[in-house]
Amino acid sequence: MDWLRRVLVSARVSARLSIRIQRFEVVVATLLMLALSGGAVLVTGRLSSVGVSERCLERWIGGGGPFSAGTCLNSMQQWAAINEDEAGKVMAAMFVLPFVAGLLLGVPLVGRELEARTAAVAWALAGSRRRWLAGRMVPILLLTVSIAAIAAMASSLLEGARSGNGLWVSAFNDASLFGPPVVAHALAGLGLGMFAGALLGRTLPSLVVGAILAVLIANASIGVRWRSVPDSNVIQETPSAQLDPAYDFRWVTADGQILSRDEALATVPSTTVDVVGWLDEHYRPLYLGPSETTAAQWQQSEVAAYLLGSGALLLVTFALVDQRRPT
Amino acid sequence: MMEQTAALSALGLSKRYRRGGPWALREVNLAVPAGSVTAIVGPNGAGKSTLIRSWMSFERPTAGRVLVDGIDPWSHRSEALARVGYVPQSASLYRDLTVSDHVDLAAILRRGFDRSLAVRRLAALAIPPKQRAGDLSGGQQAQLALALALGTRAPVLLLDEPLASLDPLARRDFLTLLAEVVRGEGRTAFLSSHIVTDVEQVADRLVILSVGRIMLDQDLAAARATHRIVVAAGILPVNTIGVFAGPSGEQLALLDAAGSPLGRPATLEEIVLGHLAAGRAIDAAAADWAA
Repeated sequence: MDWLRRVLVSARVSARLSIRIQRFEVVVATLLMLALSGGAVLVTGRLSSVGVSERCLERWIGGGGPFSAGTCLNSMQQWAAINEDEAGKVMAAMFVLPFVAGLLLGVPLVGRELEARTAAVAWALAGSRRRWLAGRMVPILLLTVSIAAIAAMASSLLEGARSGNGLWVSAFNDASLFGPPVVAHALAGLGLGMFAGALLGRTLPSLVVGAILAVLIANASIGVRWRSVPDSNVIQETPSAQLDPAYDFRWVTADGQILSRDEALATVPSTTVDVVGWLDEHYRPLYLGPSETTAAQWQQSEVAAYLLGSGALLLVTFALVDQRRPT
Repeated sequence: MMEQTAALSALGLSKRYRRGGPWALREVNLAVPAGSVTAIVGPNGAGKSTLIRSWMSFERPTAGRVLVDGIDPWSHRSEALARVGYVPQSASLYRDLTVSDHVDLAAILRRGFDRSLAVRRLAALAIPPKQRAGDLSGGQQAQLALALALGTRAPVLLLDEPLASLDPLARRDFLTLLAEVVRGEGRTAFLSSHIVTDVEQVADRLVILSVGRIMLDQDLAAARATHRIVVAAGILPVNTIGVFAGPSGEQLALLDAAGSPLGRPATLEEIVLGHLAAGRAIDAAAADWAA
């Protein structure tokens, strides 16, 4: 058991030093992610405090927005404003900041060691550069996962509140902005930062190159996501409503005929005050678009792809470090 | 034979950093005896650091190879580096880590690191353990780097111009400690410098490197005994090694004159200057041929 104690002591000291060596980046990345998580929780609270009911959401969506909202109008407008403005900004940050935090933590691991010429001393002491890099990386990797996981949980809370249980925003729309993909993005940032640092051996150029690569990868991932879903003309019933320009909803008559929104509205008697209520009474709504299952499947694929990519980057980085000449 | 007895050796080592570029080292053959303190001197760009970094497996030879205690650092890096303690050019320390953090780091990275030896050395030099490395003076930083290298208990120490940025007093302290440890513990040290007085203080063997070529590799005593100086006037003796300007502007010729009564014994600085002048002349001649 003595060896175990030695290993644990060594791991603790290694973690302390690794974090201390890049204290500035650790503090900045942690604060960024905690602020982001705090923002998500705060906006979640603000959305919930408005107290919009599911019925109000359905009336708003089904009846064409403010014109049919009735008694829900004020609360819906308040809710929608918070959702579009504050929640929208937090969710956008939820896409960008995990990459940034990962990059900030990843670049100094090798890039700054080479730039500051500390790599030569460490490599001379360590003998095995792989062992050195593993010792440097593991604490930072764990930190990255931890702070990203907090943000991922906060983003899931916010997504639940802003989607109105799927009535307002499709989970598929936000699939890359909440939950496990947040952690995957941070890991991708870390991998890109380490790779760029090992390749270039300079901090600032590595940050720039890493950021460019992250933007390209993120954009490619968004493109793939939208191409991966069924064509919008294909009617696909989903368990909840979806509100997205690319998708639509229909009304199903008692005899199974499917009516478009305009066709359904045309059947509503002109004297009807509660249009949505009338439609709900006479037809069954059929929502079209990617289901929450599709969103969950996409998230799994995205996380798997990012993890595989990050793992490959780490392997390449280890190989680079093994062969590279220190400056 | 050389592979078995030399602590460090270079066998036909050549290095250039890019294809078609200038040679940083050209067919260097060198054997550093175990237990010696060997100083390598040469101007900036002579290839001193490249040679040391080759033994550290930081540079891959373009041709030839290097050995540490008979081990090729490119094919057996861990085994070779386990025999080496390294002090780099301009002590490259982690600015935000304290002195004791550096000792902790070395203890984690290096199996068998003698923490108490490093701590004793630092305490003897009154270097505060809680001080950040970035706040240490240049001399203290160099001493910290040396303490870490000594703590490895490696039989070979490679010191790549550790004195370049130090004031004379700090240089003296550093060299005194180095000489004491190396001689006291029977280690081998290979020190690069371009300050000849430093070399004189600590080394027992001298290597002169100029434009990638070894110009001299000799015991210090033998070097003094086999070199003489004459004022260069008219036809130079056939055994002239190189001609350089003396302190009063006169031209001095360094002669390879074992047993010859001509001129006066050369100082170490004159030996170095004469061989560097010879190296420059060879390089100029080579450039003329290339043109």
